Amino acid sequence: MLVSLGIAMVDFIHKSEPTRQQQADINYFSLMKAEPNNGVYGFITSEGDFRSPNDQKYAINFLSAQYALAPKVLTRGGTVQRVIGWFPGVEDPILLATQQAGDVQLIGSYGNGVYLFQKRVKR
Amino acid sequence: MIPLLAIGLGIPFLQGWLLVRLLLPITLRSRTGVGFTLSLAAGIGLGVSSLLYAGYRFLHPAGEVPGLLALDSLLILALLILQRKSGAFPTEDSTKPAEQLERVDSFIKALFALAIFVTALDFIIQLLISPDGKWDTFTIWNLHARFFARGGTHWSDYITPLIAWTHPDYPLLIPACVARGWQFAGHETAISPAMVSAVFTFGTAGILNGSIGALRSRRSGWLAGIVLLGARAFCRHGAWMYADVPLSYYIVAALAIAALKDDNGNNFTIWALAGLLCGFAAWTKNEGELFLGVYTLVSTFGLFSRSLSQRQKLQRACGYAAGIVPSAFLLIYFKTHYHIPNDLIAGQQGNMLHRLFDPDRRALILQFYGKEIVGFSRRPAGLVPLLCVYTALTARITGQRIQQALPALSVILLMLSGYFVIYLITPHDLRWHLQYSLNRLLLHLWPAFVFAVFLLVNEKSGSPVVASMK
Repeated sequence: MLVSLGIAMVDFIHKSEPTRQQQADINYFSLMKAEPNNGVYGFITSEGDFRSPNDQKYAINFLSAQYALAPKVLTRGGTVQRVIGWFPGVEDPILLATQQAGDVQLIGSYGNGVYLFQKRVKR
Repeated sequence: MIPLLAIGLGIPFLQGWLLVRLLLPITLRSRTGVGFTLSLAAGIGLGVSSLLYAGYRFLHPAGEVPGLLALDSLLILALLILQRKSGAFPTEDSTKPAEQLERVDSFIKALFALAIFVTALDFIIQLLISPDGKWDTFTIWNLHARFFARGGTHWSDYITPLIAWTHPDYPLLIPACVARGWQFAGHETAISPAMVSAVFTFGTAGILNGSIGALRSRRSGWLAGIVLLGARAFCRHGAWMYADVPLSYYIVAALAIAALKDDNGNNFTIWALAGLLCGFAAWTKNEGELFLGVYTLVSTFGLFSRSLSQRQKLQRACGYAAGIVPSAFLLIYFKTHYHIPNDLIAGQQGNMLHRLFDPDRRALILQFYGKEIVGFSRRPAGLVPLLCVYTALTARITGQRIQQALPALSVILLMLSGYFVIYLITPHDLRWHLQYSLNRLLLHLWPAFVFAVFLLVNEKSGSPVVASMK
């Protein structure tokens, strides 16, 4: 018990940044408030590839985004009408979004690398 | 907001306390001590309030706080009326045996207090490091709670195959308790899940300490508490707000009640209390449903193997059934009304029999069982082998001890067998499944195992508590 406590204290002293979930709550706060409280959204990111089912990086970012954005429901990739993109530090998010989700248009930018895209209607 | 959260968490405790006073005879309350009664009240209160909350959200999806408060108040009023009618208010019990403590007892008691203190510090530090808990907390339990707290009429949107990875079929005790706290507080404070988790982590120690203290001696009770908290895995999973610790709480509480009631003479209310605890286990995790079945089987066998009149048997069976009904009703409603598939059942695709009789799978599961049981609590010398050696050296097998420990030992063995069969038929990759779940399944049974061991180990013959039971 005492060893366990010691390890926990060292961990705590070295911890200075917000956790992944706290950071996700901060990142998606504006989008959360701006969009309706329900609905299904796609999720794409520059931090991981949704096409690779075993991509741990994508999985962690996807799950953190789902936790932050509940009760919206997220699906992998861009197969649905509205797609949330998390592209921190990316200069051309539309280009990346188009590569990952097909023909989309940007409909909102919410800071911290968070964007909302909509699929263009095919005529 | 904190006072509102305190009200939100205080109401379940009051409901639990009133229920315990109503269902647990005063002689047992007195023998098991204040710690046991408070621990039991807190766990039962959280179970009851989660049922009220979920039931309210089923009927009235928006689930506003005033409606919840009205329901809570109604239940408190009903319990107060029942208490007055049943005369459950007397506070003094003259049958409590006086126990003389030796110097070594004071030392062990101080060690138990130190164990609680160190665990509490570790618990708080873990919460500061990971306020949202670990993997299962934010992908399952607190995520479901967020759907409840934020979703309004859309709370059930998470019950969709689109996010089947969050296991929408999991029962609602933990999400309902957490979401209820958030709604009372008016925001998503980390205190709500932390308090729920703390109740179950330290409540388990309280249950174990009080029940072993009553059935054996205070010294054994403190030792049992120290051994329980000595398992790092138990304390850490508590601090990470996993549902495995709450389930282990309900398992050991139901077993403690079984041992106490057999010793004390049975009646309707104490069987109802056992049923209530088993129902809450099923309402906490799917594995709790297995426990409910196993406990019912063991209790039924115990009931019919004793020389009781038909009337007595019927009375006890009715009490037990009455305790189960609220949780079972809501659980069945939840699983059938929302048509939620379970990943283990839905993924079978007709290969179940092949998997069931595959010798390679059996061998792999046994290998993992051995490894995890020996290495439980992630120490080089696990506590389980140490406890087994201690028991083998000190056990004094008597008829009374076997009678008291047998239900707990039977439940542990049947649960382990049940988990074994589930692993045999799992449609997931078996190695992956064992790697990521077996240690937590063993955690469910850890407090029950400590309880059974301390019922078997030797006790100093002059102990007044033991003497009073003979």
